[in-house]
Amino acid sequence: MLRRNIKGIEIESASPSDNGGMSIRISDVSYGDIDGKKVELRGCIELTNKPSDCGFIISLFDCTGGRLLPIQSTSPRFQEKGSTSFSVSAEVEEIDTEIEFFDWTLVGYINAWILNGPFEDTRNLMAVVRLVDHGVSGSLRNGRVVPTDKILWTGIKKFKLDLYDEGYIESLIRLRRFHFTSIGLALLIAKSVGEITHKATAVIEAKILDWLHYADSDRQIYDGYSSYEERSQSYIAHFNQALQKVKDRTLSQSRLFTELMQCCTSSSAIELIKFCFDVMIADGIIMGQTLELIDKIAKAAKIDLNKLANIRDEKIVRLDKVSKFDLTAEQFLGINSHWKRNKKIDHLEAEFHKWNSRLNVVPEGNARENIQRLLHMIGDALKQYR
Amino acid sequence: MITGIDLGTTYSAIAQFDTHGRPVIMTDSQEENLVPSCVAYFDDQWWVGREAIRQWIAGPTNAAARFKRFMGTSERFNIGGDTFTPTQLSAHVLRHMHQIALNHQGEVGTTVVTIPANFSVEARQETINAAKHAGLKMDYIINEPTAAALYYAFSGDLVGDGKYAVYDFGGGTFDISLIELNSSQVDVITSNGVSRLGGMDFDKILQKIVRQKYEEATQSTLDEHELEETPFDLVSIEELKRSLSRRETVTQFAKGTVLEITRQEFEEAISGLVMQAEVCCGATLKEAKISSSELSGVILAGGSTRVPCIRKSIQDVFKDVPLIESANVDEVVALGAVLYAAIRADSNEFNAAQSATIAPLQLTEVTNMNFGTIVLDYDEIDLPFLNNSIIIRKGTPIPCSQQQTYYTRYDGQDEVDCSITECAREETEMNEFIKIISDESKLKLPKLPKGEFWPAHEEIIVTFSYDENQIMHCSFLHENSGHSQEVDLDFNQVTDDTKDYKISGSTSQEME
Repeated sequence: MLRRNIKGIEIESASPSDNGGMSIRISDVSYGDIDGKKVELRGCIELTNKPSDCGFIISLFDCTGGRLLPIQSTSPRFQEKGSTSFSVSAEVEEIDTEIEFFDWTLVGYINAWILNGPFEDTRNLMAVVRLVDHGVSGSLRNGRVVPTDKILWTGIKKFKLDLYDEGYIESLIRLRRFHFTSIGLALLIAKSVGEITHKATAVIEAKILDWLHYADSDRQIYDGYSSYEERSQSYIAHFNQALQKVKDRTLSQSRLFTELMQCCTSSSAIELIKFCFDVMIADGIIMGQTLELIDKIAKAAKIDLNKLANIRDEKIVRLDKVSKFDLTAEQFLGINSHWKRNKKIDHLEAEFHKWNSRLNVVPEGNARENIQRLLHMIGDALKQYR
Repeated sequence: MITGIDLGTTYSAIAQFDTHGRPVIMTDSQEENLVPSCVAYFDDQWWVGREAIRQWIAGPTNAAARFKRFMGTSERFNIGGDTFTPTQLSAHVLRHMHQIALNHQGEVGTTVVTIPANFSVEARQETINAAKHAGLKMDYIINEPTAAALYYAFSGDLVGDGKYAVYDFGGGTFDISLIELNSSQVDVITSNGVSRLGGMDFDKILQKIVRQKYEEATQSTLDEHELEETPFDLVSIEELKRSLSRRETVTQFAKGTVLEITRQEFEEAISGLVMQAEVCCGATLKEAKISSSELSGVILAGGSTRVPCIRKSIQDVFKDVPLIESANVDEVVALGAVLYAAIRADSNEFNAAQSATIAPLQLTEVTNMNFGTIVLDYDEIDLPFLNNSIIIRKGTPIPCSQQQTYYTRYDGQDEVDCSITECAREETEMNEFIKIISDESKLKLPKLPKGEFWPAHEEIIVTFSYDENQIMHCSFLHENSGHSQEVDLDFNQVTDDTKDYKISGSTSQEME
């Protein structure tokens, strides 16, 4: 079982009821097709010193479960400098030892469409409005300011907001499911040529390391693992279990497909298919049953056929010169044996024209040799139909 | 003297534009029209042609042949312990051809060298480099099938105006072009080809047949060295191939063993290759939306068109369209090349007969690649992807100028990548099959006062103009500010680094 240890972030000094002499108002606003909130201030803040330059910065947190989890932004313009967490700022002109807004004064907009919270739903959010000294915004990270002595004033206000997209914690959990499913499918691909080879497992291991490497970023601290080591141990353990199951022939292909359909997005589907091809070509043997399995995976992942063909094409040209094509041109080019003769000819001719056009564009070496091999293969295949 | 050189894979030919205004093949010192494209080094000097090919048969370590196929690649040939690029070896052949012309007449002016229509850009560039290194005054190149068409436009041997196919099956490459003839004006409609398909591939297959027959008959195995000896060497094999074009069965003596080779088994063995040419022709007709019944004739060029099964294949593809072969298929390309050289030469130096020949001849070529730029696009579910947006399509008549408008993506965007791509097929989503010719230039939007930024959706107008001198001018213009980034690609420029085009760029600010 994975531990659900989601870390919260403590907000300095202020509490919702204590905003000093300054009040915060958050109200609905529409601009064009975009719905959102506007953040306004009214009242007075007294400062001990007269700062040379300062401004208001708004950060957002999801506080639904009692923990404060930062809200992310999909727009670079509304992100902190060092992270993807939401941040919007407003400069204050002609500052003295006192800032006073006699009427409600706008300090920032919150565009609901660019927000990405930990979970999708109607959530309780908290806006943290800070008056900070110049230059401190660079130290803002996930809504928290370091050093805190640069903060001149903090005010907070809670409000409800509908978050439309899948939350980042939800997506991290789904991503882990996708990774584990991918490992299983990749091992099935590796097994499809007979025995699982060291070259194939090396590709899978490299992919796992890749995932772990990219997991070590701000958002990934919420994926249920307390550390990089814990995450990597979990992945390695899963890989070893799946490998044993494949060897024992107990890894269920249909279960993996069902899981894939639940956890795969269109972009991750493409990543998976590329991964499958990488595992396939690692052994240097291209077999009909391997391509059939990749076709099935692509179908389960709902990959567009043209997209699949493009990925296949790109991977094929990277094959090593010594690779063996242990299959017919029909298998290789996805020709169904039930097709009528003319359809087969049309398909083969289209494939020939496609590859022939590409021959002079790809770099010399393996790519050109592989395309040349394909052209000969297609030419020979066409002989039997004409 | 104006000359045209057909730099072939197996044989080369040179023609001159004579004082009667006719293209005429020039013979070498042995009164031969064709010179083997073979280079050798022995007796402390370089040899090209028949002497070289004899050396190639005797010991290929001192000679090289069939290097044209590898133009623009990293392939190297070993001669006498030193390595040579295909460009260097081609320069030797071109220098030899140039010498033939000098021997005929003391001075040589404009020269045009031919290249296969489907040559890669690198190979094309290297041919230009080879010509320059050979000391030729060569300002232009012409596609081989186009040259053949130009000759027939001059000769009057065509049945009249209309659409023609030019079927050029040479020693190393296969090309198919569709042209339209209107009086003496030749308009190329489209060209395609198979880069590695020619007589030399047939030779290799025939060599394999002979080897297998010998090994079966003698229950022995030939080593690679023995394959360089008669009758297994490629020159003997080429002779055998010619014999098979004339006879159904040819008897061959191999080290005391009698071998019988039939045309049928040879044609069966090469049928996969012949099929490639057939498919290429079919695709070209489809691409041009022309049916074979619309063609007035099929112009033949290249020695491989003599192979009987090739002729049958041509009839299968083009049905009852008449074959046009009144000119020698080995020479017609050189004859057309010299006419093109005459078109491009200074007509003030022509006599009346020469001017009369050239005056009606006109030629329009088309781009043989798609040219585009990389832009960010969104798919049906709004996922961003890099899209190769094609601006000049393959088959566009040259000169041409095409324009597309794009938009900046986000508020505050202050620069735009000015990439230029090429691809033979309309590839849209960026992939390995799109070559990025240039991606170093950026269009900088002018700076705005503090606190202001350019909003998203600023118009960027991209214009690609391809001129008759094979130079493509690319302009990326920010409509609102008038700032632009210009990139010029010269496809004819001699380069030191043979892998790159000569690219020059400038911004509008630098030009002011």
